[in-house]
Amino acid sequence: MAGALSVELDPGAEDNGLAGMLSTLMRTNLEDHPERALRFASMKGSLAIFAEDAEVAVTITCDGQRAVFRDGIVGIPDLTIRGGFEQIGDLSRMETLGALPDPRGPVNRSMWRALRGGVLRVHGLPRALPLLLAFGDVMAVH
Amino acid sequence: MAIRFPSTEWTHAFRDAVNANTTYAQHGKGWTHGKVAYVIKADARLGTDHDMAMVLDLHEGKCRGAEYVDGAAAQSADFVITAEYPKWREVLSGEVDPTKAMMQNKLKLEKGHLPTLVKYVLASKALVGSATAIDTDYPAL
Repeated sequence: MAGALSVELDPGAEDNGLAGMLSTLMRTNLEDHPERALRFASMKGSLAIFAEDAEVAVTITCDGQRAVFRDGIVGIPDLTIRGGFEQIGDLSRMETLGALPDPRGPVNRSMWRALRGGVLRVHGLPRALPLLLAFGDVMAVH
Repeated sequence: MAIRFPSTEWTHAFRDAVNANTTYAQHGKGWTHGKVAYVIKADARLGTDHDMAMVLDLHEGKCRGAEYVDGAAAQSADFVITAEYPKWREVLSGEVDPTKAMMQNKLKLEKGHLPTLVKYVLASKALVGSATAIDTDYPAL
């Protein structure tokens, strides 16, 4: 783990598979890509992700040094992403072209269709756009 | 004739089904990340008093080999995914998507590099989907 950054799974979230997956993915990505520590440090606020058809939700609270993954939707998140488990799973597979999303990427096109069709909904924009973009950069698997 | 799950015979049938799956060949063609073990927790319904596992030697969209072994022996695989028998039955029979099962904590990644698994999510889905082509005799729940 780079510097003093910390990724924690709240004890109450140990049986939440989505929380376990996302926290492991974030921790591993920060170990594999230390340069992403800067993006992690820019993540301030709370982000909830709800995989509706899997009936599982997680809230991630970030203060720039620490990210804590909690079971369910906790409080009033700055940003909420709701969708099917496939769209939620694809969040970390979105393609980039430099620093921007690649509009030709098959995952991005699928996500765009899901957004237009209402299968994927993002609440809290545009205010929480920086949080969303930083989260996407930290979690990306490419 | 239906093949009893889990068993050496079923594991070999799974290998053959994976190699006949063109969707897996397409999505798994870049896979050079080693063996994948599916560990089935000990279950009296299976007649086992200890964990058992199917270890798949996957490489570039093909399954080079498959073994049915003790759970302990499976720990040397590069990726180890564990679940209770009823959860494996749900996933391998096509009732539940493997990604959804992981989100619901039905399947657990005990060992392995999660970002790599996420990158190959379509291959993982096709891999377990291969099992639906096998005429399987699942022990009653």
